[in-house]
Amino acid sequence: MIPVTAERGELGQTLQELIPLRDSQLALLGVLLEKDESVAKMYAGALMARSFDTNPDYLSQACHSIRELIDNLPKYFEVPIQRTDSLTNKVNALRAAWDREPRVRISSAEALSERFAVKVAEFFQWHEAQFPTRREVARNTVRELSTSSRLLPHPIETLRAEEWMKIRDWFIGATHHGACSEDEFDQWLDVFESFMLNLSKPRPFDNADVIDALIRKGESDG
Amino acid sequence: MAKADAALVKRVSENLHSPEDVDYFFDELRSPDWIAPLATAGFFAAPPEPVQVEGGFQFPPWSASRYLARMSGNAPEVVLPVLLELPETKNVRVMHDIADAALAMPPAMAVQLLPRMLAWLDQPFQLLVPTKLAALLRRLSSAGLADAAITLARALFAIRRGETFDMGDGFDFPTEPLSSIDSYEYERLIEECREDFISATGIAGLTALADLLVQVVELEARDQENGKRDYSFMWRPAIEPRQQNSVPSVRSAIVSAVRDGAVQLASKDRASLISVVEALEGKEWSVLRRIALEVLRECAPRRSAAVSSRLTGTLIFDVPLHHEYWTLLHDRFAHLSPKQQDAIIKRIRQGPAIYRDPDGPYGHDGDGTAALEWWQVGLLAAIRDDLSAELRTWFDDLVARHGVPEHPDFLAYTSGGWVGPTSPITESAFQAMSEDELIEYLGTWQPEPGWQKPSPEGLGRALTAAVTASPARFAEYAPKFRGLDPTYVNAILSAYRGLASNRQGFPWEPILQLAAWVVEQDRVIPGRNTDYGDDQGWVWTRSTIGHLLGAGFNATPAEIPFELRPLVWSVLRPLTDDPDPTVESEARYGGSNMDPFTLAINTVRGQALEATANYAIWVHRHVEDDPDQPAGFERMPEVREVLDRHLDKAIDPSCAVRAIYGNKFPWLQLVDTGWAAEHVPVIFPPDEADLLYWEAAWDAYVSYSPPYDSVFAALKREYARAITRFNSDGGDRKRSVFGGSDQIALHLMTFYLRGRLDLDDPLLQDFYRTAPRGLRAAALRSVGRGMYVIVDGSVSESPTPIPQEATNRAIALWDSRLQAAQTAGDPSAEEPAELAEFGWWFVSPTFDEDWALTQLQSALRLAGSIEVGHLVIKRLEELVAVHPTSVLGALELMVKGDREGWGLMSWKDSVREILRSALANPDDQVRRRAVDLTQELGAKGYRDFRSLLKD
Repeated sequence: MIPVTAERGELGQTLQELIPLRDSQLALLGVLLEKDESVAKMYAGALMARSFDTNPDYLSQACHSIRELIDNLPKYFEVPIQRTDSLTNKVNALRAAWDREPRVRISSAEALSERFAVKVAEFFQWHEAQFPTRREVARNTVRELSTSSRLLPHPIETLRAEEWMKIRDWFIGATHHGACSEDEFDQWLDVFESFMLNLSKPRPFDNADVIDALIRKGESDG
Repeated sequence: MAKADAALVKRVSENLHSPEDVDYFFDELRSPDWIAPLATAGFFAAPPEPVQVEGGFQFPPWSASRYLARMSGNAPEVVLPVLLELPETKNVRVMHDIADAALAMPPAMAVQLLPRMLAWLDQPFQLLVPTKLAALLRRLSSAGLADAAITLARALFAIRRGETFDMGDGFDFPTEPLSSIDSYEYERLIEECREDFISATGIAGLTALADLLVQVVELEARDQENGKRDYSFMWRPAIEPRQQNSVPSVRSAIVSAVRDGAVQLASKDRASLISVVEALEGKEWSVLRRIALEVLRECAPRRSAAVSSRLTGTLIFDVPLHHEYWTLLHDRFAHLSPKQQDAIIKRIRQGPAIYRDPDGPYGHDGDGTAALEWWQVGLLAAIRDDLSAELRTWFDDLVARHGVPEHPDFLAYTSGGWVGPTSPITESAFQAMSEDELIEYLGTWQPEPGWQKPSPEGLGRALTAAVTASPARFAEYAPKFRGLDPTYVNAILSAYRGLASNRQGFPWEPILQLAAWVVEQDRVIPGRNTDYGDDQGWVWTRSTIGHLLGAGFNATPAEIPFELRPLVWSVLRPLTDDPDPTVESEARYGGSNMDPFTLAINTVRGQALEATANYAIWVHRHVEDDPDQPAGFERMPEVREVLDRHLDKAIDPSCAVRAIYGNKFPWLQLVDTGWAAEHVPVIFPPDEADLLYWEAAWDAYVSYSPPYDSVFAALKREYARAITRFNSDGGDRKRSVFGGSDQIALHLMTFYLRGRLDLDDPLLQDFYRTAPRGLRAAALRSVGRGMYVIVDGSVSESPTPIPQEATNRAIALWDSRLQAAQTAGDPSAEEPAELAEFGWWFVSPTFDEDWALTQLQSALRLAGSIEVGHLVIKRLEELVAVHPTSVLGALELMVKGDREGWGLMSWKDSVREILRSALANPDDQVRRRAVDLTQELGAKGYRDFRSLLKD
């Protein structure tokens, strides 16, 4: 039986005995545990890797764990990508339709049959649905991380998707090149953790103070 | 200088993490300076669309449009371009905001939003859209924007063809036209808008409303044979407000609006009057010409050519105009010149051509004269006070021959309303009669034919009331009631039945003697009128006697004296052989219509068998302490004979009667244990071929009987059989209205808590293996509910102390159910929902607090939610001071499980108190957890919890 909250979770307790965890890290561990133990373990692995600085490759391994986590999140947060067929099969089917086109028509797009045009349209509709762009994947991830049943306004969702892509890019880059300092890693880990918690465990009343201040700034007379 | 610019909006965007943050931000804005940069950033680009949910659609609120509506009054020039650029939406709540914004801005600007808003009226969901558009119509009208107002009014009050009704003659008869607005709302809105609208738009606005009316009658016109003569006189008998105008309808609301608008305009001056009347008459349809006549009656000066020309012309013969012509004639005849009066009299004498046409409907046999005179008397009635002596004589002569119509101003007058059976005399008149007078009256009174006339049933009701008021006096007369009509005898016995049920005593012997006479009569009286569902003879009275006896066997002040036992049995015994229910009636009324037990207690034989069982208990009660009396049915062989007889299918094949045996089994066992044990296989036949008998008896037993240990011992096999039948198909047979299947759960749990069953008993094992989720939930619920009582909405300890052994057994049961749920393969499978019933347990003070809190959290984790959340939360509030961590843990899970938010809405006060207590707790961990939970509630939209953190 997996405990629901990190405070009482075996994983959280074990981790806490080994390394000091901030409240926010415990909270994120709780969120991930609720989704799946293996994704929580990736996060725990990153934190442990980061703490064992006697390991010469510790930062690279920590980056790798976070990257693994980021790439696996869509699976655990049920981001809706349902593969209905392989790209190869679909291209082969389109190729077959192409081969059925009379050779004489191929020189002119206008001369292509309506049936073939429909096949082409169907193929690209399928491709759009099955192979979303990075931005679409990021947008879906943002939606799924959010605990609210309502959507964020489009500009904010776009902003979040861009932030998510930036975070992912940094960890991928750091994994591949292995060139980052402790400070850089800690900074990006913090960005990652805040991003995750802001969406999946928001603290609206803390945020309300920030929003109040921004409104005051915008509405002050000078 | 304000600083709301793109840079600040970007910073805001970075800090809005949830839709709730976004709502907070928009709702806190007080300046319109944000609008432009927010619009540029795309905050107004995508209104949330309706969300389809089970049973309909949800319309998410949009704080962005709320903000625009709020700013519209101060900065309409900034808001309007944004509203014009908003994408089309089907979200009604966004429509509301746009309409509010339009209402707040200057009308001349709001007009630009009209094309968008008019399209909303084609949407299937509108909620407050019509109300808000009506408000806008008034606003446009007040601002004198006539064209815009007319455009909006035409769209807002537009009608469409109603459904058609197949007349069976090749024509579809249309029902009344419809609007997208509910008819009551339509009437309210059009009336609210009318005055401002007509003031602003004048004749053009009136014409727009009149056009709606034209559309009404054109949609209803079935053919063109009648030209523009419509049927408005049928659905709107009077143009002026009158009772005869039936329930509110869209078309009637339009008539009122056109009438009031026309009067409003015509009241200004004579020229306006003429313009209005000509505009209405120009539409040619009868309904508008009727309104024109009404306007003349209301507004025309005493001497008016417009009035006299219409009264003296041929309108008098125009049938659809009758009411308004008649009313105008009535009001204005005295003010006409003698010559004009003569012209009218001449037309009345002449009459409509149809009465004189030899080829017309009245031509062949001279009926035309009578019809003409009837028409004349109706018209003359309008001016009877203004007639000359000569004409008055003519009128009186016509009245003498034909009478005078009650409502000559209407073509048809409707009077109605349901009237119950009425009595020719009152209850007190009965009281004043002597015995002989009463018998004489009841024996000789004959009802007059006709609707709403006093009837025997009505007289019977008055008689029942009189007997109820003086039972002893009427009991004295009882011997003389023999020979009266069954309706009256039944009324008398019904009075005594009511008294017995209300525990009011009376002299039983004469009443039983009267009943004994009744049961000797033939059930059916040949030739008796049963046209209106009346009793065919004495059947209803026999049924009343069954109920009367049943009530008399109870140990109350109205109990039948035991020494009357032979007389009682002489009445009861014949009823047990009554043919009702027959095989045919049982097939007709039973099956999918009525369960066997309900059917039984609505039949004479069923009631008699039930009364027989009650008779047995009555006798038992009186003789059980008598050592000289033999045991069981040996003391009452007459009962055994009847009971045995009706268990013989060859004699009594009724399933309904068997339901009585099942229902009364515990009491029959009480009277004669041996007989009951011996007859279990007969009452509850094991053979599948007799399944219907078994079902009838079992349902009637388990649904109504409390769980008795002795009965359980006798019927354990039947419980087992009932369990095997949980998932079997019962066809469409109606089962007990009290849900026999839930009752079996209550019985089993009771026997378990009493120690009559153990957890490993095959009966309980089978129950939990085969019972559907609802039934297993009912089992846990019944245990929890038995642990306390609820007084005035609050839980109190059970007045009967719960034995520790029962509490221990309950805990063992819970442990086993929890374990079953935890080991179930799929955690979303059925078991967890059963655990939600732990809510009923948790609120009981019987259980140890720590144990209850731990189990509550387990149940919440597995089931996701908890039953009786409102009581659970109260209990948590009581426990938070002592068990803050466990209470917070439970509350976290409850909040998480309340996905729709319905629970939180009602728990808010208790949740606040729990959090307040936890936030003040000295333990840092507790406080942090309470803060987290408060934040979580904020994320769910409960912003008012913010004050807890500020405190």
